[in-house]
Amino acid sequence: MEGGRGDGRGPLECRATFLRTGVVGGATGSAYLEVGRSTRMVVSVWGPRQRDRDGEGSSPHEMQLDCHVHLPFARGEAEEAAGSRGTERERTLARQLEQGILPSIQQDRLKKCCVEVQCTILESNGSDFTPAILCTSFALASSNIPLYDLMTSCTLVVVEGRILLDPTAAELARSEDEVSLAYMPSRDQVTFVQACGDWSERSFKECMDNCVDGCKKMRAVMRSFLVELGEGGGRPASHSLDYFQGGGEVCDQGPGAGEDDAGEKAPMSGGDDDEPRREGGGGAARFEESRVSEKLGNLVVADQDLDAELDTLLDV
Amino acid sequence: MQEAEAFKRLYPEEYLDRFLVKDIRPDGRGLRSTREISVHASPLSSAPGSAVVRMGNTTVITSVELGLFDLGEESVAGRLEHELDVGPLGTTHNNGSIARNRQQTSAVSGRVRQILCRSIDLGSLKLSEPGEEASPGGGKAWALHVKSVCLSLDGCLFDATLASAVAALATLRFPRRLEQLGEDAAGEDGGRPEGDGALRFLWVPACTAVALHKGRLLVDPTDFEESLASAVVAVVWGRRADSPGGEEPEVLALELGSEGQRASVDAQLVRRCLGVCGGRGTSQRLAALASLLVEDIDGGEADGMMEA
Amino acid sequence: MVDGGRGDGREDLELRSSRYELGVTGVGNGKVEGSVRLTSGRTEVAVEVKGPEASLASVVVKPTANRDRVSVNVKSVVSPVSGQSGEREQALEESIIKFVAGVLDPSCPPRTTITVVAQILSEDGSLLACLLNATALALMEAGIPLYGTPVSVAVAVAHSEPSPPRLCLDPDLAEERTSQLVGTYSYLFSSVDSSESAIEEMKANIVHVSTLGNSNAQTALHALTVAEKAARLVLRTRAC
Repeated sequence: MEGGRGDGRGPLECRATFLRTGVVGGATGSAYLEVGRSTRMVVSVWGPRQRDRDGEGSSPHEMQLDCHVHLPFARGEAEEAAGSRGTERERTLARQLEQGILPSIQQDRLKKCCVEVQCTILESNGSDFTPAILCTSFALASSNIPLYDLMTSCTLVVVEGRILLDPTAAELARSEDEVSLAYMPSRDQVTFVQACGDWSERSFKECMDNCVDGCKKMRAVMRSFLVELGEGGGRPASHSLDYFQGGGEVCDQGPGAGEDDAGEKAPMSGGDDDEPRREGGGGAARFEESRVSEKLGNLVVADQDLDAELDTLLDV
Repeated sequence: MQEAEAFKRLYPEEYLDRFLVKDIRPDGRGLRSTREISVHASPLSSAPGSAVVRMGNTTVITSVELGLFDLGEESVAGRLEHELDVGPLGTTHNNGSIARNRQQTSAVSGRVRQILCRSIDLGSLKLSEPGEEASPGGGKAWALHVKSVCLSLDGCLFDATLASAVAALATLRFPRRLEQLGEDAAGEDGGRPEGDGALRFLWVPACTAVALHKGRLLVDPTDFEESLASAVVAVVWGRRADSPGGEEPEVLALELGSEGQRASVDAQLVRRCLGVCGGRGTSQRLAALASLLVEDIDGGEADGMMEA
Repeated sequence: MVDGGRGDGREDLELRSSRYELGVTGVGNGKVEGSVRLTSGRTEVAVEVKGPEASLASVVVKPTANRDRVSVNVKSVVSPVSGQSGEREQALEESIIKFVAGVLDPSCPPRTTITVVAQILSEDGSLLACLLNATALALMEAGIPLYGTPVSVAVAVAHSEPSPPRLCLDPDLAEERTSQLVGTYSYLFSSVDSSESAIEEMKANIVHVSTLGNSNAQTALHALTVAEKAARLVLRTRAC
């Protein structure tokens, strides 16, 4: 395939990603992800709650992560018999999601608890796994569940000898080899690898390295969205679905909507308890911490200088 | 803030009463105001028709798929089926009872289907054949599979599902003539070849619910208010699609459920409910959905967001 | 509906003759506390009520701070005349559950389960009203405390411009199909004071309404008042 890819990207360029939290009212944390214009999903996190009595095989004292994936608009799968846990595609993705996300959660702080992740994929163009991991990690981050780090993910395919990152469904169908990774950037740890293909003619390591680079780029994107969340604003990306705006931060329900017989305008004082503001606030608080800790990093260095000065002073 | 949250959980009735005494509700609305509705058309590029409706914290996304079927000798009209998927939220709201969840979603889905079948002209789904004088019976017609998924739930599931289904059907485009089918993979890929038709609406329906709590009427209740209410009245208003607007909307369906022990509901109260929920909030909703129709008929791109 | 008369020669506001038998299911099972077979015209339903029984531990009914609230779990199963139960039967189940939750008295033992099993034997219009009436009778036979006497009626309204809309009670299937509005209304009749009062003075509390069809607000309210009068009539005929 000569020339560029269908949408004009370079071979190692990922599609534009958009993330937003506070989408599902009532959930502990939730996130909405959009990649390009054709992959959309909503992930909601519920819990931590009491564990079900009948855990499967694992020790009853550990944390349990329950992932459910839902593809309501999947075409051509209506005839497939859907068991109680969903179709084959949903079940496989749920297992992969669980495996990929679990290492990023601080499990020893959530003993005997169950965290439930519900992932609803509205549209998917390309790998299902990568956007699911990104969206789930973002939702967990906004839900005050203790994490080691954000989990990023990237998929790489080899099409006619060329390496392509973040493939669309068409590229995926034409590919000869495929690698999906889940990666924790600040710990430099790869936690999940799924690869299929023939690696005899090229270096598997080279593909993995490219994938890890892609993950690092995704991490920068995710952090930028989280930092904006912390600042209380939301930069609407040019292709964001506006209907999800106003979910996480300021409550858009002004008294102007609808009739108000009494004629008085209800003041939106802090005393009113409204769900989205609280949720956004929770997410914001969590990321204030991370920015503060960045700044703390600088301060620690300064402290060391102080120590040196103190030492010299005391020596006197 | 956490004390307020704890108070809300332990003494939900007193919590709500403290707001109602001052004539406002926990989310800051007046007693008679509905939540803002935002309708976004065609968010899913792969479906022939789709829409997302957001009412406060309740979000429902609907997609419409097309299928063909052969008409029998007598029937002349197309078919419409509706399916509602509350997904993970159902179990959370129903204490994990799957059967109860299925009953509730079936009930909502059935009512939506009944209202939709009355609101659209199913006869317009019949494909016209080449060489006119098509026989009155026989031939092919479209079957519409409408699937709604609830992404987040905060009361008034039926209202949001109905609005979302109506908006999705308003954005639907399909070929009207049999000979167009061969040209473009049945036009189901979202392409809009020439001569595509839109669905013909007879009525534009919109639903508003009213909850009764200790003698006070709360329009468009949230989940918290609904759980404490002693009676809930859901009224589906409809405006004729071809009317220029300004006419009084008619009642398309009425549903009332009350707990006899806690509420005394009589005809007087029902009249008050009809008066209250036919107010500005409902007309705004009707206007939002009707404008979606008109824009499509003019052939404009229905990608904008309508706020009401 | 033909102008002038109805299909079976009834008056507009005349109900079909209805009969009911209590205690239809033998007590051999031991669990079924109340059972009724109700026939109204050609619509026939059989309803059995089980309970109140102890709820399973896995079924958690949300505890309510309000002591007046009934915390009884209601389950319902409706079987159609033939075939599998589909969406329509599930919608009927939902209506029955809401209805039963609405008529139970607060003195009902808390955290129990009541199960209502209904079988549609034949169908000829006014199905939901028959089901709700049969359910109410079965609950009474089972001795479950109710907050009054529930009565349900079905109403159909036909528009034929320019004459005013025509209301008919207890429509059969053909009339339901041809009318613009079909509704089912349930009332709970209770005595205002503790002494036995005449039926005309009993307070009528609306428990359930479901209508489908277009009408203006006035017609909807008119149907409501007519239904209330009809319900009183049914109560009177039952009493004597």
